[in-house]
Amino acid sequence: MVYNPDPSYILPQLTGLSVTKVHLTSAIERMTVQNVRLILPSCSGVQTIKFDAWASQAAHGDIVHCATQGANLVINEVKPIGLINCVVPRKFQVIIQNSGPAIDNVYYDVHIDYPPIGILNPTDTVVFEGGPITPSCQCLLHRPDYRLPAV
Amino acid sequence: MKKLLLFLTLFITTGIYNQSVAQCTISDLKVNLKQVNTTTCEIVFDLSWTQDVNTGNKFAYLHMWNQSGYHTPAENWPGMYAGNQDYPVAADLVNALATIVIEKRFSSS
Repeated sequence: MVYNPDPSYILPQLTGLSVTKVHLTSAIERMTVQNVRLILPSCSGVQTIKFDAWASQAAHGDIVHCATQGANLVINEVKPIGLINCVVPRKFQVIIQNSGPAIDNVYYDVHIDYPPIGILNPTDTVVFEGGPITPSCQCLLHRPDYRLPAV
Repeated sequence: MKKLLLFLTLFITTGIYNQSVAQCTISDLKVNLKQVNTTTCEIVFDLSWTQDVNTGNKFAYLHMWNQSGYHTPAENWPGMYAGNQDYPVAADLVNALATIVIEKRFSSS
């Protein structure tokens, strides 16, 4: 059986689910699907979800024109927390909590979030780039009191 | 006063493999975990990626597996995405957790 798209069937719109695309250049866009809800067979201990994405420019969507594969989402293991202090001078903190085994090569970026809120877009100023780090078991990486740039 | 919000993302991106079959590229697939309900095992996350856009850009497909089910049955997956007819079908996705298809026909905007 082949899964060709069926334009006549549209999934019911779930609360919070959205697709947003932002043009980075005239030829490149950033696609974001927000609030995907997935029920896992198990959520005991560390769970790894794997992702593939591919795109088609064919009228019926049945020709592979490009693909990327093997993205990971590890659950119950690494938790990033951002704290912001709005008292002038404004500052922020980053806490990365790892409740699992040590993980190599974790990178993180801190952005100031401008509309559309929660979606990475060209106006989201990067204020800090961290990594690679290797959070060991039960560690807290605490980046205290970075100054936010004036706006 | 302009409101400032801090948006923190943490991505584990090891092992990502990008492949351009012919006339476009898709890359930088990232996942942002937002919620985990340890009672119902429901998770909420955002997915984002970068792709070419042109007047013919119509469909994007996302497939999701847990670790043990990824690219199984294993005998079905060698060469997947290598050619323009090498896309996964039902028998290849039998162990997938979910598939999302985004259609945006006849538009580059």
